[in-house]
This record gives sequence, structure tokens and C-alpha cells, in this order.
Amino acid sequence: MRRSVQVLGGVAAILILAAAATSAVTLQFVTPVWQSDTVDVMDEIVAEWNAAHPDIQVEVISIAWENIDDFLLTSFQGGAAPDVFHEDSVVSYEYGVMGYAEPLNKYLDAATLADIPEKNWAGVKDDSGNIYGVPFLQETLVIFYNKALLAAAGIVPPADGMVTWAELRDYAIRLTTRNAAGQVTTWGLMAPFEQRLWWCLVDQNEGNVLVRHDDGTWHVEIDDAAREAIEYYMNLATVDGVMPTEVLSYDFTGLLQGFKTGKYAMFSFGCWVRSWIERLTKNQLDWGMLQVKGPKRNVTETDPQAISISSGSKHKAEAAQFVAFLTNTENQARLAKADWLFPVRQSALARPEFQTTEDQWDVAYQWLAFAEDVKPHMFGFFGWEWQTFIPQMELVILGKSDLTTALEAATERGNEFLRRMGLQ
Amino acid sequence: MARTRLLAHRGRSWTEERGAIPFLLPALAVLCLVSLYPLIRGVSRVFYVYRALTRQDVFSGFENFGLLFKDPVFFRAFGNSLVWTVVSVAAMFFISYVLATLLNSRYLRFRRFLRATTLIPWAIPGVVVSLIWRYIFLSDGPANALLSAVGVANPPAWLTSPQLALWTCIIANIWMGLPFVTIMLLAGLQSVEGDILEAAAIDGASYLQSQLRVVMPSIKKVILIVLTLEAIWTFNSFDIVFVMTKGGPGSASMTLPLYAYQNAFMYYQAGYGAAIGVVILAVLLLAVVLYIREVLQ
Repeated sequence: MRRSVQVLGGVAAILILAAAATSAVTLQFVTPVWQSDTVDVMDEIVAEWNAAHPDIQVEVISIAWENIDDFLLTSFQGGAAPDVFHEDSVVSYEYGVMGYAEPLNKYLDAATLADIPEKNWAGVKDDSGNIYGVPFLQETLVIFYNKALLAAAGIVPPADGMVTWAELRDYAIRLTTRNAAGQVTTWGLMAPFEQRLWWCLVDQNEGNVLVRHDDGTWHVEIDDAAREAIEYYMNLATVDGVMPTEVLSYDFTGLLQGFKTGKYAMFSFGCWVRSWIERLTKNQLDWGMLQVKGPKRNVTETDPQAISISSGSKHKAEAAQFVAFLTNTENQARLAKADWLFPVRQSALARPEFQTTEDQWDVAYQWLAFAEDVKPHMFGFFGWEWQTFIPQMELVILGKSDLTTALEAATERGNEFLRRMGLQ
Repeated sequence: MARTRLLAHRGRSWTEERGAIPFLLPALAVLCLVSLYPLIRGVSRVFYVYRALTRQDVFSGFENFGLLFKDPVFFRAFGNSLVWTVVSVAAMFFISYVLATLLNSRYLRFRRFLRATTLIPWAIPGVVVSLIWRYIFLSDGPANALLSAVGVANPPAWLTSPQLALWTCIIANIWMGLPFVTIMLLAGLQSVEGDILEAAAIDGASYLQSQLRVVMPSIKKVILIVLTLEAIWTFNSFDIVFVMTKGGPGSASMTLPLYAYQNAFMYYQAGYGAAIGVVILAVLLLAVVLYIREVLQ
């Protein structure tokens, strides 16, 4: 009898434990963080959350930046989307427009709304005011330069690091060197298309490429100011010969290696690349950062990221709690610091570690004042850019078309694309 | 008389085979579910476009096909796919034929070991092969290190040069495809009787003449099947270009399967991607018809 009671008690205990275990919610969280320090911090944050919330467990799924878009899109379409995902702000917005990302308005408290600048919220909002992601991390697009090469060319950059278009071109020309056979041994500047220095230049000149009309439709209307900016960028490769054709496509390690070996005297990239320059050169290369001063206004690309919740998630309220935890002041600051980026929360950004002179945080920080998402807030922007605009610019870079013809073709094909997307 | 016998034979076969139909139905149902249904769903997407302003998929008839003819990237991808397929398959055949002939030679030492090692590239997943070759051809990778070591001042940018990117991918594809073609050709060569070659030699045929006039015609069926299959697989191949260049720089190494994928999964144009898929299907059907004809013969 006693043994039977013991057995029954044991079974009951197991059932209770099993019931408790099955009542715990497990959230899937997809993130593309990849730098080892950032991965460690992300794991720490998730472990802290899991320890404090036994009833809401989070499982991290790591996906590379280059594969995350198709992973998410196929997951949404297949009805197996993760509960929470980390993406570019513009992609979060696009998923929201398609109904895959949940509007978060009801989950956001006043303090969070006030702590993040409106320009960051605008990037994840639709016309009706639905917010599809919590803005998270940001950067400044900078021009890295090799101090020794600049000194050898007799160039003394300004103390504030701000150079005009004319100065940047002059530097690139003076830094480009050729061997006896006329082959370039050092390129003055490498500004990959994908990093969008050219978009910054358009904005700095107050130019327009994509224009939204009052009726909400989008149109490719390349004005003279935009043309001037694009021509300036193209001429660096086609006329001055100080920027290589590899701007169309580059490999990251090759780019850094090229900077280290002096193949590239200057290159344009996000400020987080400081970590890789430090790592690769082991403090043996003296480098600095420049910012381009616009003829009409100062703008640099901020490339913001956001955290979103899938509309198909069965645990949205729990997911919202986790998102609030992940994006709070403390955790944003920890992740931003590990990733050599900046938090968007002003309370996190105000911390001294983002303004220290160590690793030139202060230099990158000072340009946050000009940081904007230079990509127009248009659904399907990447498709438009890479299917209609870049192929035409490629022809110019390769000398197969002149800029006027290419811009006309880009306008015609771009508008056709926008019509196809139902944006006109 | 012969015709009557043939018909009688057919009649008996049909009666016997009819009894097997109920047993085949489950397999047929599974085949329809996993193969036919996705095909129909995919093709049906061709007639729809996603309109972002209204947030709806709307019926657009043949609009997606019409757009193909105005799209220079599509034409470039089509041209690249043809170059990619023709060059890859031709090179695979040529190199594999030489390798298979070597591996078939009774004078070759360690023949069994070498035959086994030939299969290694086939045992490696395509994505891994692509990553290996990508590493080899990085601007600071082993290929350029070797070129620098032998005194080349400015080694090429294999993956980022518009002139080289597609050809670099083709090299990786050839390497990956060699084992299958080699092993198939080797199997064919092993079926060629030594007596025939001896007879040809006695008749005064040179080595090259023996290969062209005796060996190749003897294994013609194997060659045709291998070439057809390899052409289908290569035209449809996705992983190498995706991993190595993503179709770039610009669209310099863009192929049709990759372009279809980009449209469907990156640019939210599933209908346009499906239209490209239908074009791929049409091209491959030609090869499939050839293949079936050879198999049936």
C-alpha cells in the first residue's frame, strides 16, 4: 500500500512537472549578430532573460546578414516564422507592410517612445502610424584613411575630420599611385556602391532620385542636384581613375587586407569596421576617419537596425516583453558597445563609453548629429536599387555607357519597376 | 507477321500491368503532392503581381512575361546561363574523358586508389565546395598568393572583376562536376572490348583515330546521357554562383536561377521570379526530351 502511494506520488509529481514545463512559452529569436563579442553579449542577455523568466524561454537562432532576408521571407510564407527577429529597420517596415510584422504601438510605453528620436521611429512606421519594429542600433558612414599614406602625399586632414567634395577628390587623386607600367598600386578611394556614399552625396546636395507625390505614389525623378552628386562619385572611377571598378562588388576581407597593405589609401564603410581594422592590423597601422562635408547640408548614412515581432507569433505579448528587455537602455548599450555601433536610445547613447577617445569612439560619435537613413522610405527600395539603378551605374563604371544615357535608362526602368510594384 | 506478334505482346503486357495500378497509386499520389502541386502553384504565381500601395496580390495576366522582354538583367542572366552551361559541360566532358581514359588504363599504378579519390569532390556538398573556391579566389586567397609568389605584380580580383567573376564560378563548377562525368565515362570505357581496339590498331588507326572513330561511337549513348544530365543540372545550378559572387559584380555573373530567386525572395516579386522559373523550365524541357528519347531508345 505504502509503495503504491509512493508510486502514485511520483507519477503525480512527474505530471505536475511536465505540465509546468509544457506551460512555459518558448520564443524563437532570429538575430544576425556575428562579431564574436556581440554574439557573447547577446547570449549573456538571453541567458539572463531565461534565468529570470522560467515561463518565457527564448531560443536564439543565428542567421548571417546575407541570408536573413530570404530565411525570414520563406519562414513567413511557410507559416513557421520566428516570434522575434532582428533586421534592418527598412526591412522591418517592409515586412510590416506585407503583414508579416506585428504593429507594436500597443506594446510601447511612453518612456521608450520618448527615448528614441522620431527620425528612427519614422524608419519603421507606415503611413497609418503603425510601428513595426523597435529601433535598436545605428552607425555613421565614415571614410577610413591610412595616416602614413596621407602624410607621404603631403596631406594634412582638417582637425574636425570634415572634408569637402573637392578636398576628398583632391586627396584621392594625390593618394593614387601607379607603377612604371601605369598600373595602379594604391587606389586613392574605395567607396563600395553597397555602402551608399553616393546616396549621402545626393542628400548632401539636396538632390532627389526617388520622389513621393502627394497621392502617395513613388516616381524616379533624378534632378540636377542628384545628377551632380552621382557624376562626382562616378568621375572618381571613370574620369579621375582614383577609385577601382570593384566598387560594384567587393569582398570584405579583401577590402580590409587592401587597406592594411596600402592597396586602398581611403575606404568608405560603417564606423563599426574600426573593430576589424584594430583586429587585423594589431595596432600597427595608424588610421583615422573622415566625414564628407556636404555642399548644402551634412548627412551620413546611419543604417539603423530594429527588433520586430512576427504577426504570426502565438505569443506576441510575451515576445513584446522580451523585446522591451532586449532594447532597454542597459542592453542596447551593451550590444552596441560590443558591436562597435551606437544605440538609438538617447539614455544609452549618453553613456561615456560611446564618447571615449579610446578606439576613436568620440570621432565616430560626433557625426551622429548628421546621421540619417539616406535610403528613401519606400517599400521595395532594395529591389528598385539593385534591379534598375545599379545595373545602369555599372555600365557607366565599366565604360559601356555615359552617365546621361544611364540616368535616362535608370529613370525609365525604375518607373517601370515602381509601376510593377504597384507604387505608381 | 512481326507486327501482329508485337501487338499481341503489348496486349499481354497491358493486362499484366493493369493489376499493378492499385499498388502504384499511393506512390503516384505522393509524387503529385511533392512534385506536381508545387509546380502548379509555382506556375500559377506567374499571373499575379504584388501591389505595395494596396497591399494585394492582383491578377496581371501575362504582364510578368511581357516584362521579361524589357529587362536587360534577364537577358544578361540568360546569356550568362548559356555560357555557364556550355563552357562548364564542355570542359567537364573534355577533362573527364581524359581522366577516365587514364583511370581505365591497365598501365596506371594505384588505379583503384585514384578511382576512389576521383569521387571526393562529389562527396562534398555544393555549398562547401563554393566556400572552398571562394576562399581560394579571395583577393588575398591562395590563388593570388601563388600568383604573387611567381612574380605577378597585380593578381586579378577573381570574384569582384566583372570580366572574371562568371569564369571563376565556372572553374568551381567544373571541379564539382568532374567526378560524376568521369565515373560515368569510365563505366562506358570499361564496356569497350579490347579486341575492337586491337583490330583498329592492326588496321593502322592512330591513337586519336581509335578514340574518335572507335571508342567514342561505342560509348555514344553514355556520352549523350551524361552530357544531357550534366547540362540540366548545370543550367539549374544555384549554389556556386550564390555563394561565390551573388551574381555580381552588378549582374556580371547573374544566372537565371539566381535571378529568379532574388526576385522571389529578396525583392518581393514572386510572380516575376516564377516567370523566370517558367523560362528555365522551358529550356530544361528541351534537354529532358533529348534525355528521355535516349533512354527510351
